[in-house]
Amino acid sequence: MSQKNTFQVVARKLITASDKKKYDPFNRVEYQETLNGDRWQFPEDFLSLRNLPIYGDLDDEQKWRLSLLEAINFFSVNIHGEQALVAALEPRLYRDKRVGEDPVSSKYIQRFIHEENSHTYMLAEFCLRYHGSVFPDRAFAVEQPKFSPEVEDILFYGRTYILESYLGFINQKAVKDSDMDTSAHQVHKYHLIDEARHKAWDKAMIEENLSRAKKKNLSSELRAAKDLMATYQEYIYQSACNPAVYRALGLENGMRLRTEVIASNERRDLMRPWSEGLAKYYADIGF
Amino acid sequence: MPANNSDARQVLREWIRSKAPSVDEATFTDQTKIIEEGLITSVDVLELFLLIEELGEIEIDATELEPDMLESIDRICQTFLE
Repeated sequence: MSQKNTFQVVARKLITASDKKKYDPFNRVEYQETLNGDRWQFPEDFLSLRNLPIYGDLDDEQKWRLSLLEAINFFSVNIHGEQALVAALEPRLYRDKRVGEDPVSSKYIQRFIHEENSHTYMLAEFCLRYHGSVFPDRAFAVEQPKFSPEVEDILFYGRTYILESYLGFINQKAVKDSDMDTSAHQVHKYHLIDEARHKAWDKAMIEENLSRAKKKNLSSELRAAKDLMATYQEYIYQSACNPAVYRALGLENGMRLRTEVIASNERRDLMRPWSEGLAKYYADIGF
Repeated sequence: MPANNSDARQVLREWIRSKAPSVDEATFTDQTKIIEEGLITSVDVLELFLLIEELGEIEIDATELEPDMLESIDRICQTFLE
């Protein structure tokens, strides 16, 4: 990161941008009384079964129901990811031992936490109103690495950037889709606006920590962190394919359908802009 | 209908072999510590949850789990499928 654009400068800019976009977190979205049966709740092109032969066998009612269940699954992954993010951001407030812990950073992180808290409310409200529940959390880290503070923060903000880039990629597609229903469209739109700032902070933290880690010659730790980030990226990719969704539609062999979706070249191609965007970013910063 | 215990164990053994093709068949048992020995990763755990849900017709919330509940086929069956 250049001297001119230090993480403190980024924090100040993001604080200004956040404060300009203030909103009532509990009344931001206009939730419909009932969902529109002829509008998508999730972009049709991103329905997990879209490229499998079975999709052609579904009637219009099942396709619509699939779009609702996949919206609930996507929002549930959002909620659990953001809850974990908030829990990990709080201990990063007002410390003085590591990167990004001076007061201006903490002031931005407080806005970051506030906005993530608002998102989980907005997303959960959609799930509860139209499905009655949030899908359970499936994230379970089996690896418990011990890293230097710089690499620990690269891993944390790196995973956050992966999640937010994924959410942003899908949100952007949904916002541009004129066939989306009103409430779902609003949820995607408001999330997309805020995540742009969060990604900027993730990048500032990754780059500053990377610079410090390189000066301390932590290359083996950096390689290990990158492997864990790749594992997390694949977890996020696979989280879009949920057999519980297929079972709720009355389809048999939910696990087999999931395996087919994950192995589908069309699905990988569809998500390639997201994965290539991440790879390009890491290459650009020398990670 | 949930799979019976014997069938479920067989499905789990085959699934673990598919994730760790180089597993030593001579020492691989239902007591083998599948995470500790590096046979599965975090991504595989997601699939394992989904597989257990299908076998047991149950719903799993990872936030309610302790790591040792997934340590071996024996432990998985005791926790979720018996």
